[in-house]
Amino acid sequence: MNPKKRELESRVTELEQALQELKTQLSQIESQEQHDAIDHLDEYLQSMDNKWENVRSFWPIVLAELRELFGNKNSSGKE
Amino acid sequence: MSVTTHIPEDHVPEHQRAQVAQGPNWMKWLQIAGLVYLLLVAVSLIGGGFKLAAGDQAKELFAFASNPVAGLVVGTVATALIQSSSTVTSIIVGLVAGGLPVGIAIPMVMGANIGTTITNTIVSLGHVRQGEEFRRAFSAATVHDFFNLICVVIFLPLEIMFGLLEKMGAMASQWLVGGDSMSMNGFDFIKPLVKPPVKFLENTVLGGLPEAVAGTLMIALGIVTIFMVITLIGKLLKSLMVGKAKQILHSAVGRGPVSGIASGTVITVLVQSSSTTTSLVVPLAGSGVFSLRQIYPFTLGANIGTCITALLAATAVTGANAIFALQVALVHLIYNVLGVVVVYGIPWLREIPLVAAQRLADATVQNKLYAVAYIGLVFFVVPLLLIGGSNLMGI
Repeated sequence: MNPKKRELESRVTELEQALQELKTQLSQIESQEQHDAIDHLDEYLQSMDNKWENVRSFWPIVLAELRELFGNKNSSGKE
Repeated sequence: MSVTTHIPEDHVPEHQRAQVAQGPNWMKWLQIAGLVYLLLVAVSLIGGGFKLAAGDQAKELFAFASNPVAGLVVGTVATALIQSSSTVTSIIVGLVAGGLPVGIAIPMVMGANIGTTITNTIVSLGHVRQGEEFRRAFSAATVHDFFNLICVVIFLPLEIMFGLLEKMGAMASQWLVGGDSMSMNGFDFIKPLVKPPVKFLENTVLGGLPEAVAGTLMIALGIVTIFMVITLIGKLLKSLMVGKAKQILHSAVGRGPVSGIASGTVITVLVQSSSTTTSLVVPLAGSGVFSLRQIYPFTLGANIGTCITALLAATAVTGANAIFALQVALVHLIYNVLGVVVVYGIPWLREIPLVAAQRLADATVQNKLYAVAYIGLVFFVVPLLLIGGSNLMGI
């Protein structure tokens, strides 16, 4: 077999193994992050009870965007 | 000599203080048992009230909803307003017990599936000030909406044309109760428990009133009781089951979509609320720790798990209509299981809710008006337009 080809094959195998190892490490980190997030489930449950607060905080942003939208149209209309 | 150690209140962890303030767990379970009993009484109250108020005219009374699109809209808007599909499906079971035809009830049940998705969308609005986090949270909330909309687009025409779900529900209920009235079978023990308070109300408190008025009051009382009971059960179960829910979620990590669907189902059964389950995953997705693709099957499990409440409600119904009450509860279950099998099972269909949710979230991050327009259109404006359109076409 062509030595160059053999060398390339061997490097590909090494890289594939290294890649697999990195993927495993990444997946372990992701899993750990997911487990950590699940441990905060109680806090998420509490925040659900305040869902109308979400609407209250959302509404001013919508109004600001509406004002911006119509304000821009009005000012461009005047021009 | 006894030695007592005094721990300053500040040194007691907050969760333990909350536990002490709320009382021991056995007390909560006792409260839940009492509330479940009240739920069964309330369903029976609606059934009895509807029979009393409508008599043989139940079908005529709900003639406006004989248009399946109107039924769908009633279910959607009612659930969006009271934010509990369990409440709406339990009320529907009660109405079927009182004579509402199953064919009219089925589109209402489908509508309840759509209406319930508004809750997690509202929860996702809490992330609005964090751009990327909001994009992920909003898409995690709306993927459930799009899935439920696709289910209606597929199954409502099949129901209108062939009565597919009604027939499947009828077969399943016949199979479960052996073709007999439910009161003749395993659920007979419920009747002596549930009937006395209903009869007491009917004969004494409301006894002097005309039947129509007494029936209407019974229905109203039943609806209010179901709403309050399900809200209270949800609150109690949330505090009791949070540890179990954590365990289930921990065990589902890294296990693929079937495990996600199963864990979503089990958690919803435990907390008796699909909107609790689907809202729980919004912050998990918002933080970026779980991807939209990982969250998606979990929310589908919530659709299946939520059917337990209507099934429980159906056990309260006795007499000739008991089998129809069970039928509509089973239709709810069959519809949700079929929805997952068909929409999630077919790869290209499975992708549609994901793509739609991501596109809507992208647009909403740019302009929050899309969120307002989306909620207004899906839950209120389009349903009303559909009623008008279907009436014009004479469906």
